[in-house]
Amino acid sequence: MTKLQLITKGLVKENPTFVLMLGMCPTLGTTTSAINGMSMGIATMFVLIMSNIVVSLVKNVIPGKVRIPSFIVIIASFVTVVQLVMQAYVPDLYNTLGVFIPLIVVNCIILGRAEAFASKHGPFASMLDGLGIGLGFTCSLTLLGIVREVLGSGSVFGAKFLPAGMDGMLVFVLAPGAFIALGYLLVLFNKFTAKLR
Amino acid sequence: MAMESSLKNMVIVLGSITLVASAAVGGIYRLTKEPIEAAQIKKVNDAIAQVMPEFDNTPSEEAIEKEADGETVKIYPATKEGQPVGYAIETFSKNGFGGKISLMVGFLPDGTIKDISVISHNETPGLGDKIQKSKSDFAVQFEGKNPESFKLAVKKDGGDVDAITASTISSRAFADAVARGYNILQAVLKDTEVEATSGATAAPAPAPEPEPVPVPEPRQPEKEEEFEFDPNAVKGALPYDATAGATASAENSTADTLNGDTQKGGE
Repeated sequence: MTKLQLITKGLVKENPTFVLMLGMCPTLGTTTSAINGMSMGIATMFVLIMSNIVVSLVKNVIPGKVRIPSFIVIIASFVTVVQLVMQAYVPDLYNTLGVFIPLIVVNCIILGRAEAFASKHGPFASMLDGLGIGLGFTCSLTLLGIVREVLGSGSVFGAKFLPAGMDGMLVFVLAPGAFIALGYLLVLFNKFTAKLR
Repeated sequence: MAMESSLKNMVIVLGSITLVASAAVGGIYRLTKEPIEAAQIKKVNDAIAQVMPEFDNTPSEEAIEKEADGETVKIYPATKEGQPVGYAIETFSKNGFGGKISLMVGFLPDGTIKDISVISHNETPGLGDKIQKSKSDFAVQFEGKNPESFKLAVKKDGGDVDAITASTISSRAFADAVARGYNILQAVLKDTEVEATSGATAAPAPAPEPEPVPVPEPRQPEKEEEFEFDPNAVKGALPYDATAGATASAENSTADTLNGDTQKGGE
């Protein structure tokens, strides 16, 4: 696998949301608007890259039986760092994403990549892997966020395009809309990427 | 996975990983502590500035804390050139659809609501979050109203507040939070007034501060009692009066009704 493939595979071939179907909790919970989805994706991508690098660096000194606790401690530390930094510099975003920030710790994608990739490859390849999967996750969440915001609030990235007095279809901002939008996006994704894969 | 999984290895490796991780998190915590506090203070100050008329003191440093329903409510007095121009109150309600709603309510010295800013809430996006001024004009209806004459309850509950469509619970909680803030402010203002007068016992002038404090609720019953006493006194003074007969017949009719009620109850 070339280095470019490491990055691009996360977008389509191993897209964490539409193909691997991992990390559904933040995917459905935070994508009420495009900006929320994108922020969540970037926060996850940061944790993913950093934990992949550190795990691949320390993989040779970790005894096999305690590797999962070790990975989780490393991931949790980076999540706490992200949480503190967001609280300090983007408090509004921190309040919006709320409990989903600490919940990055239990995102299957991150532990999955640490276990399946970073613990078997070098630091550089692991970083690229984290970047690729993280980009895929960010793009999926942003896409879902855009769809839900357009249909639900009549705006894109906070810019309203519907005339005043007109609201979007509220259901798409609420939890059921997350499932509906994700379902239809999955259908479209599978239709258009069937040949690529 | 070169390392053998012996007990000693596992304890050493896991121990040192947690040690390094906690040291790193601790370091970041120290670095971000000040910006986090600054961000929180800024948020409070922004909210105060939004709900208060122009002031020249630092309300966040003169906050009065008050316990209410197991939570702390903070009152920020705003003054300009020494004169009070208003009070910003960080109040709350636990009855929101998604739990607690925190508001910053600005009251002018006469009790009139100046402006309201939502500090935090967990209401449903698209429905209950319309309590925010950026989302709808719901909060605007409170501006310039005095809770003395403007009943802080939604119309469904017999109040004067127009609820957000499909978000009565959020609207109710919002009104509840504003009412809580108003009542606490009145209580605190009354306390300070009493302190001021008791502190100046020797002072002969009974009318103390020029501060136009609105009549607090506890005072109203006193007034009503005074009114009730007055007609009695008048009745006693006048020997024979039509009012006496009227009162008597009224009493009779009341007795009749009471009897009727009891009979109905008996049957």
